[in-house]
Amino acid sequence: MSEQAAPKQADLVNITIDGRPLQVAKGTNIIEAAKTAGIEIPHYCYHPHLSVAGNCRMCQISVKGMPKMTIACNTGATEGMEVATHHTSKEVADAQAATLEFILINHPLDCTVCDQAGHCKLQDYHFEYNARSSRFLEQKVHKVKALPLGPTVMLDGERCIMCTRCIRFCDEITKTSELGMLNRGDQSVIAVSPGRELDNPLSGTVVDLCPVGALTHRAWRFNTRIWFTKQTDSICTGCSTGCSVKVAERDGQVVHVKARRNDAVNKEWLCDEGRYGFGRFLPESRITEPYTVSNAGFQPCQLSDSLNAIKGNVKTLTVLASPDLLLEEFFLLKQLLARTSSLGRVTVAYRGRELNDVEKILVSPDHASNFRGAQLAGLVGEDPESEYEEMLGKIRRQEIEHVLILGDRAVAQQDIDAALINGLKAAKTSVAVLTNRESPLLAGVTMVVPGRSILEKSGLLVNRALRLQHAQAVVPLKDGTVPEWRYLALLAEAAGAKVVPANVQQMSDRDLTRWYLTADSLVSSIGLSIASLKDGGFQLTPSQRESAVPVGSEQAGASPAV
Amino acid sequence: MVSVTDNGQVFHINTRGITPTTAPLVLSDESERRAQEIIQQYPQARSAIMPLLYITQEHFGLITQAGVDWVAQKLSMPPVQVWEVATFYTMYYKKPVGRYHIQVCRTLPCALRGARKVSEFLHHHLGLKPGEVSKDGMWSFEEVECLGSCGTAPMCQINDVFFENLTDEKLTGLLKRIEKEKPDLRFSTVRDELGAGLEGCPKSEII
Repeated sequence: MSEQAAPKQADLVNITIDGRPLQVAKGTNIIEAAKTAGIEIPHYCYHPHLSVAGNCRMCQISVKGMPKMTIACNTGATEGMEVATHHTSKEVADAQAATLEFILINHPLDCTVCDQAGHCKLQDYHFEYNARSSRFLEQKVHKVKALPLGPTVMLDGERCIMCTRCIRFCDEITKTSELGMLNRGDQSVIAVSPGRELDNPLSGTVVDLCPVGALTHRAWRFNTRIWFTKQTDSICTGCSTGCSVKVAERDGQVVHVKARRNDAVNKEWLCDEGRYGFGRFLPESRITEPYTVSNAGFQPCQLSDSLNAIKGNVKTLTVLASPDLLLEEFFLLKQLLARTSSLGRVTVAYRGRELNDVEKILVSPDHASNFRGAQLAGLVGEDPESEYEEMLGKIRRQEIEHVLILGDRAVAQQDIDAALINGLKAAKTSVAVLTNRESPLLAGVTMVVPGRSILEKSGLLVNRALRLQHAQAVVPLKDGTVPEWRYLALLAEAAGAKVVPANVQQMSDRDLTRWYLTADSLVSSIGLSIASLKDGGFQLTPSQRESAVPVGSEQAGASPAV
Repeated sequence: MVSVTDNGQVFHINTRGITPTTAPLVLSDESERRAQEIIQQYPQARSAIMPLLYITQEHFGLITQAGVDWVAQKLSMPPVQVWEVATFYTMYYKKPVGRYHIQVCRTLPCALRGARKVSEFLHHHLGLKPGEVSKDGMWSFEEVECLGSCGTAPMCQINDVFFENLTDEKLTGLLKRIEKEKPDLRFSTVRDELGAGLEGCPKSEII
């Protein structure tokens, strides 16, 4: 996977880092160059997507021929450069230890009550590069301890090491310039512009950027210690940007969300809506068993009852699919329907929305995280919104006979009204795979299947820019729930459509993904594996998208190569 | 309290100078003209930030939000960056100061040459701790970092003027004379009037 054109031979220079010969593009800074050789140079203020400030002095290196040590972040590679890091130069190691001791002079050392403890660069580097106690006996400077900078972020001035990453983020990325550094010397503090608040749509990102515990999420302060959580690398499903995130889970709850670096998608940013709303797809009140809805109320039933209710009607089935279904599920659905009937009866809930300038940096103008997946599977066309509106109109005019609702977001919140519920009620059969016991859609359906939240599923997502990414389940499964793909497979089996591998019911979604990766025309041609998707995903080209659309019937039923 | 008319606008002046709260938000045409002139001297407008801050400080008596906003708007930069500069330097007053604001340098060369004695002297004679303003609004006193006059340490700056090679005797005379003569210690006037006005302090030591 080579996204950028390989640099021309002339642009490459030969350098050595700790005696190891390397070839890097001319001008690459030494932190990045060392990274390619697996050598980590410690740093606080440097960030690959922000300008170089060079104020933390942690990334010092020694370059042969230079009279003094220099900072790696601001040193570009030139031909023949010989670099020594702390691994080989005692001088550098000593300088780094001394730098750390200086940084820690006024640090309050309140790790015991600090949210950053456990994922703090001060702790990590102190352990790794200094590991000696402070010799500072004087009174430490005291600063503001808990100052809200805005609705999302809290500042602890004493913990701050003045790396200015947060300031540079607001200056260079969001261009809102809320933050600045006031006063000087050991009295310096990060502050919001007087009379303003840090309230841009990406404001939570400054907490990710903060290498220490100076900036913390107001929503998650004192929530849990990070070492009590299980952390998973996954994908945000708030919109179709598909930002890479690291999600911390404890007791089935999302307790912390952090942006993960993915240069092709979100760099290392994350919007507040996606971050603080990450757990919103995990309803508090869950549906855990299938049941029927009638005038008599909710009656528990068997899963097979719902299958029996619609298996005879697959030919005329209308499907309202949630836009956060996995690519595997869209493909299964496509194969199920392509075997039995014509298309045009599947829609995903796609609603466009207006974005402001800051949101446009990252957020996509929709809430439909995997609508590209539905397009890729050939279920919806180029204009999903008008198809969706057309479908809503049909339901409201009560023209639908048999309907299958997949997922809580199959109908956008703002579109659920009395006419729609009546339209659903008027259908002969309406089965819904839902997770939320409070879902307003329950009023319009006859049968309910306990579904699984997107946060409980692992599988493929395709973002707006056609990047194929693998989302991991971030919370434990809820007992009794059935993921959509399993339900679709069961339905296919019940309807007698041999579209899936024989053992699909026993397969985990991971295995299912693997089956798609190997058997499907789209991905087998590329030679992908889940492992290869782990690191930033895979960029599909429009031509690959074209070839993926016709899912041939001869291919359906191919034996899984698991 | 005296009211004077300047450019058609009323200023309320008390012993501390211009009271910030009643000063109009709109600066005089003269200030606007000076600001334009200064901005044009630099290839980048933002380079003019410090002289422009002085203009607002002269107008308001200290750095105010209105002043910062005016500078930010003139230089097309975010207000917080103007605040960064204003809070970095001690010669911009962030809180009201006396009519005569004494800044005593306490950085190393001055400290070695007796800056602490200067501070103690002022503390004694004015009854003020660093950062305080006298009740009559006449004096305020602050300890600051290097003012760039290390060769003539110890030194202090009163309003805009340097007083160097300080001794107790010199300070006593200086305070008395200022009490009596109430000179205008601003850049704009000091060159013409002050050198001659303060006997016993050669001009070279004043400017």
